Amino acid sequence: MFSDQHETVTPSGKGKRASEAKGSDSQPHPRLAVWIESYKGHLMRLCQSGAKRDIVVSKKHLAAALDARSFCAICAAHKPEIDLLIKLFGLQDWFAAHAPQEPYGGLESAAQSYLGLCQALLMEQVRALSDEDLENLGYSIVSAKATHFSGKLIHSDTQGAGMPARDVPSVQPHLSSRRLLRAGIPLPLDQVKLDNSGALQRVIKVLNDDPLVSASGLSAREQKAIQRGAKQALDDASQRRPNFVDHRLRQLLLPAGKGVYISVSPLPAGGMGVLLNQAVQHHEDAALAQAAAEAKAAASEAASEAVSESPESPESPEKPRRGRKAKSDKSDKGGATTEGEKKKDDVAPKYKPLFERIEFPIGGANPRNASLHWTDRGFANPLLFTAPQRSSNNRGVWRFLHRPWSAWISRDAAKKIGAQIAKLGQSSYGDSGSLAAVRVQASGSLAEWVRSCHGAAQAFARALNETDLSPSEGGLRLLIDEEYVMKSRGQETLPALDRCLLQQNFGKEYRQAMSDHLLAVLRRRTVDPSTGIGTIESAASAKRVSDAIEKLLGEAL
Amino acid sequence: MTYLVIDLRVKKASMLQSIDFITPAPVFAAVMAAHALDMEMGKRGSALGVSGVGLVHQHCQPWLEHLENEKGWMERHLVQRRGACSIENPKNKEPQGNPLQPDALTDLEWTLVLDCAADLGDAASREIEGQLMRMRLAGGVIALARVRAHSQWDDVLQGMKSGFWIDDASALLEAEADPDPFIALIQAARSGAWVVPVNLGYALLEAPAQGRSGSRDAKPHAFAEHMIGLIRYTPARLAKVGLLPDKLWRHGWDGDQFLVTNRSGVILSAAYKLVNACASSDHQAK
Repeated sequence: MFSDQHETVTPSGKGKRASEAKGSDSQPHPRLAVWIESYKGHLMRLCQSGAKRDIVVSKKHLAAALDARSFCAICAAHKPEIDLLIKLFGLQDWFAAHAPQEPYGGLESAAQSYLGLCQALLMEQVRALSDEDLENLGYSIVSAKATHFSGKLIHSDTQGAGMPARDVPSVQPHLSSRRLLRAGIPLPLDQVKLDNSGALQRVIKVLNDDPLVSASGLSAREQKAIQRGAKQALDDASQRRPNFVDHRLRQLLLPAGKGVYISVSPLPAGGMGVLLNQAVQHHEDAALAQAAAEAKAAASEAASEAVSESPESPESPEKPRRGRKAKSDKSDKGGATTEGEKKKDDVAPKYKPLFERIEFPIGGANPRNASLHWTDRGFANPLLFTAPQRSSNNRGVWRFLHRPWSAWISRDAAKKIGAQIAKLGQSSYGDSGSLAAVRVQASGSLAEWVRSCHGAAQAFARALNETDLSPSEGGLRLLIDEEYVMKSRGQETLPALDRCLLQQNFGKEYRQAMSDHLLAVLRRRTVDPSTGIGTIESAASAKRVSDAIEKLLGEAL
Repeated sequence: MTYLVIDLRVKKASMLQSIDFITPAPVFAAVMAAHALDMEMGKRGSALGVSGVGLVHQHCQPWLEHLENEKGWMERHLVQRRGACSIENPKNKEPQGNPLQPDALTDLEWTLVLDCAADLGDAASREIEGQLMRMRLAGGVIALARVRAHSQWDDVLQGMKSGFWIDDASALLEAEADPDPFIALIQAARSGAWVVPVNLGYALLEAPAQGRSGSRDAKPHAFAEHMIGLIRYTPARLAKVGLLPDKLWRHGWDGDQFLVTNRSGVILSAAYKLVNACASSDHQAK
C-alpha cells in the first residue's frame, strides 16, 4: 500500500498559495520574525485551532506571508470559525486577495475587531448566495466525495468503490450499518477520494449541527439549505451503480440457489472504527475511573498507617510497562522522577488498555488517501482477539509411554500431611475409621494436595489427547490409546489409573485407582528417614486416609 | 448418511475479520469451504450433500512478531509480507517498490464435522483428503488433512476429546439494557466466557448487477458490508454433552443478507432472488 499518491497532499487546503509563495521565493520574508513577535500576544493566540483551541498557527504556514497584511490573513484563516467559512465555500483565494488591513498595535481589542471584520467580510460573500446555491454547494461536495463504505480502505488506489449505507434496518443482531440504523446511531461519513480542499469535513460539521457552525455566523436557514443539498446527494448516491469492479478488491462467490452464485466485494466503513473506538474508550475510561477511586481509597487508608513509618522508603522498581524492556541503559533516564511525582503516580492508576490494539497499516505511508478518519485512534488499529492455544506437555506424554503416571508431592506438603495424620491419630479419634473421622481427615493440607493432584491428572489426560505424536507417520493427531501405550511399554496390562487417564474416565474406577495411588505415594513419602517408621502404619489409619482421599475426589467431580 | 470428521492443519490463513477486528477464527471461510468441498466432489460425481458443519478449534498460532519500538520496548506487530509482483507499475523491477498489502495471518488446527447426506466409506475419505490438499481455507494453505467417516453421531462425539467447540453467540449483541451494539460487543468480550467477534456474513449494499466489468467469473456482482457477530469457545468435553447434529453451522440468505450461523430459530433460505439483478449496468449514474 505504499503506492504513489494520486492526490497531492498539501497542508490544510491552502496548497495553491503556499506553492505560489514557494515559486516566487522559497525564503520566508525577512520581517517574518518581527511580525510573529508583534502579533503573537493577541492575534495569534486568538487564532489557535483544535478542539481545545491550543494549536498555534505553524511557522510553515506563516512562512508564506508576503507582508503584514497577508501574515494576519493567514493567522485569521486558522481561526476555526473563519476556517470553516473559507473552506466550506472555497473562499481561500478570495480571502487572500480581500483580507482587511492588518490591525494596528499590540491591543487585544484591535485584534478582536480585526477578526470580527474578517468574519463579516466572509459572511457578506456567503449572504450573496441564494438558498439554491447553498443546496447545490452541499449537493456537489457530498455527491463528489462522501460515502460510507469505501474500497480505499482495502487499497488506496482503488477506484469507483464507494457505497452509501442502505436505509433498511436489519433484524439480525450482527454489527453492521443496518443494525446501527435500528439502534438509531448514525454511521459517520467517509470519503470516496481524498478531499484536499477540506470542504467535505465542513459539510459534515454542518450535517452534524456542530456548534462551530453557528459560531461562524451561518444562519439556521443557510445551514438547513446546505443540509438539504447534502442529504439529497446521499439519497441519490444510493442509486449510483458503478459499472466496474476494481481488480484490487476481493470478490467472494456466495451460493444463491442451485448452481447460482453471486460475486460479492466486501467494503469496509471507516466510520465503524470511529464508533468502535468511542465505545472502547468510554469503557476504558470508566474502568480507569473506577480503578482510580479504589486506589484513592486504598491510599488514604495506607497513608494513615504510613505516618509512623520512616519517610525514606526503599526505591521501588519501576513498574513494567507493556512489553519487555529490551535495552537496560535507557531505564536509568526514565527513573529520574521526583518524590512528589512518584506519590501522585501511586495514587492515580496508569491508563491500561483493556483491549489489545495492533497496527494494521491501511493506506501505508499516506493513510489520508484511505480515509477521512485517518487521525482517529480506531483507524488502522484493529482490536486483536485471541483464540485458545494448546500447551502440550510433550515431555510428560513421552514419559507416559514408558512409565505409569504418578502424582508428585513436595517435601513440605508431605511433612504437613504427615503431621495432620499423626495429629488426628493422637486425638480422641485414634484409629477410628468413622464417617466423622474421615470428614475431619479430608481437610487442610491433605485436601489441598489431593485437589492439586486431581487437577494435574485431568490436565495430563487432556494433554494425552491433544498431543500429536508423529505427523510424519501419515497423519494428524495419531491418538495415543491403550494398545499403543502397552506396546511401547512392552507390558500386557496397564495400571488402572493409566487406563482411566487414557479413557478420560473420571468416574468411580478412577476414584478408586487414584486414591490407591495417592495413598501409596503418601505412605512412601511420610516415612521418617531416621527411624524408618512411617506415619501411616496401621491398616485403620490407611483406610481412613484412603476414604478421605476418595471423598475429596468425589467432591471434585 | 455419514458424518465426516476432518482434522485440518492450515498455514497462513487470514485472521482479518474486518478492518476493525482481528481474530484467528475464519468461521465464515470454514463453513463455506465445506460447501466448496461438496461442489468439487460433485464435479466428479460424488457429491457429499453437506447440510451442516461443526467447528472445533484445536490450536492457533497467529503470525505476530515482537519488534523494538523507538523507546526500546518490545511491541507486538503483525507479520507483513511484500507482494511478489507489482499490480501498480509493471515496469517497477525493485522488490521494495512493490506495494505492501497489509495482512493478518495465522496458522490453525481445526476439526470440521460435516453432516453429509451421501454414504461414504474409507475410500471416499482418502479421495476427500486428496481434494482438501488442493484447496485453501481462508487463503491459507491446507498442510495436512485427515478424514474419518462415521455413520453414527455418537461415534463423532466419542472422538471429540480435545479442542473447543465453536458456537454462534451473536445473540449477545442484543443487550436489553443498551441498544448500542458496540457496548454489547465490548461487554460480551469482557465477560467471563471466551467470546470473540468474527465476521459471520455479508449484507448487500445494492442489488447484484449483471455484466459489471471485472466481476469474478462474470457472475452478477454486488458490493457488500461485513456483518460482525460473536462466537463462543466451549471446551469440547463440556460442549459434547447433549450435542445434537442440529447444532451444526449452516449458511443461507435472510433477505439480502448472507449469513452463517448455528443458532436455532434463525431461518435462512438457500436461494437469493435475483429480482433486480438484471437491472443491467446501463443504469449506472454519474
